[in-house]
Amino acid sequence: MTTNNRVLELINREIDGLNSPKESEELSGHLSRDHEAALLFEDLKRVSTLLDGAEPVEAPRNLRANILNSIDPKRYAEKRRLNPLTTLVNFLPQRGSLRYALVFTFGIVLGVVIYGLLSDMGKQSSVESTTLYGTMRLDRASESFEPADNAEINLQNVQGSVSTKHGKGLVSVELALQSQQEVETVLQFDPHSLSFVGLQQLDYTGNPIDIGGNSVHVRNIGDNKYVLFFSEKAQSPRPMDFKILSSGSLVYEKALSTGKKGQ
Amino acid sequence: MIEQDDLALVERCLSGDNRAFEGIVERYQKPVFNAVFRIVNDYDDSEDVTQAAFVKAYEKLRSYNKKYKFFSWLYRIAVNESINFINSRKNLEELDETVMSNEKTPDETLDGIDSSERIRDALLDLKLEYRTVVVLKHFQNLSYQEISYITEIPEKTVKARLFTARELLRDILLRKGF
Repeated sequence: MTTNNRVLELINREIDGLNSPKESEELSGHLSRDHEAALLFEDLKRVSTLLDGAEPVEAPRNLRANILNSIDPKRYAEKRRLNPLTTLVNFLPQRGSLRYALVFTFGIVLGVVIYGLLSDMGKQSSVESTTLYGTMRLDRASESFEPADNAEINLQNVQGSVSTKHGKGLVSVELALQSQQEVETVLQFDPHSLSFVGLQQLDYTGNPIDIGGNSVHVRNIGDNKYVLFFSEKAQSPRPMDFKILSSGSLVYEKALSTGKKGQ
Repeated sequence: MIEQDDLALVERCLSGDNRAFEGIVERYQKPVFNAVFRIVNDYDDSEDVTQAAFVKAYEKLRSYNKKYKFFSWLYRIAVNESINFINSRKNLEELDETVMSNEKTPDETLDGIDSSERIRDALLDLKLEYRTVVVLKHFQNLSYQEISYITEIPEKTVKARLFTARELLRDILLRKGF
C-alpha cells in the first residue's frame, strides 16, 4: 500500500510545524493504521533534523572587504573619483618610487610658486589655513585676484553663487552651494588655455570631486564652499562652461569669463 | 524591526549614503554566503558568487520593491547567481570529457565524515531545483511563500519540490548507509 497524497501532505506539514492540532491528530490516526507511512514519517523527520542541525559554514574573513571593494570601482568606472586629500597623488603614476619623487618635486615647485604669490599680500583672509590640503597655501591668493565673473544660483534644489577671479597667472573659481539632495556641478575648461592645479574645500565634508582632463565635477550635498584654482596656459584663457545637474538632468548652465570683468 | 532597519539602510543607500550599504553587507554576508555555499558546494566559488550577488544588489537597488522583504530580494539575487554559476560550470564540464565524477564509493562516504558532511554530500546528489528549496527551507528557515518569491515558482510547486526532495534525500542517505 502506498502512502496517499493527503498523508504525505500531513507528514511534511507536521515536519515543518504547520499542522493544526486537528491535522496532527488526523496524522496520528493515519500513522497508527499505516506502518509504511509511520516509517516514512520517522525517516523524513530524521532527514529534516539532520538538515536543521547542520552547522553553518564560516564565511571568508575578507568577504565584506572584497564585496565593498568590488562595488566602488564599478560605480565610478566612468570617471576617476578623487577625494580632495588624494587629488594630486592619484594623478601620478602607480610605480612607487616615481610616484613619491613626483609628489616631492611637485610639492617643492608648488610651495615656491605659492610662497611667491603670498609674500606680497598683506590683507587678512577670511579663509582658515587649517582647511588647506596638501602643500598649497592658497588662502590669501584669491583676495589679490581681480573679479572676472559672478552669478547667483537660485534654483529649486540648489542655491548659492559662483564667481571667477584671475591674477598672477592663476584663475580661481569660488563656488558656494547649498543643496539638500546631491547635485553635480561641472566646470568644463579649455585644456589648451587652463589647467587645474588645486582646490580648497572649506569645512571639509568629504563630498567627492572628480577631475578629468578638461573638467572638474563636484558632487555637493549640504552647505559647502569650494575654491578651485587653475593655472593660465594662454594670455587670454577661454571662458569656462559651468553646469549644474540634478538627478542627471541639466538644471543650470552659464559661461564663466576667466579674464577681467567686461573683457 | 529587522525589516524596518533594512528599509532604512536601503533608503540611506539610495539617497547617496554609501556607508549604508556596508551595513547591508555586514548584516547579510554570512547567511547569503551560507545559502550560496549549500547550493554551489565550493568555498572559493561561493565567495565569488556571493560577491557578485551583492554587487548586483547594489546596482539594482533602485528596482527593489518594498512590498517584499529585503532579505528575500537579496536571496533571490543570490540564488539566481548560484544557479547561473552552476549552469555555466556545467557547460564547461560537459565540454571536458575527462571531468571526474562526483559520486563516491560507499566506503568513502562511510569513513571519517560527520553528519554535516554527509548532508552536504547528499545534497549534491539532488537536482538543483530540489537542492535550492531544501537549502532555503532548512538552512535559511524561510517560509513556503518566501521561497516561492525567491525561486520564482508557485507556492504549490515549492511544497511539492520540498516534499520530493526530502524523500530523495532519505533514499540517498539510506543508499549511502546512513
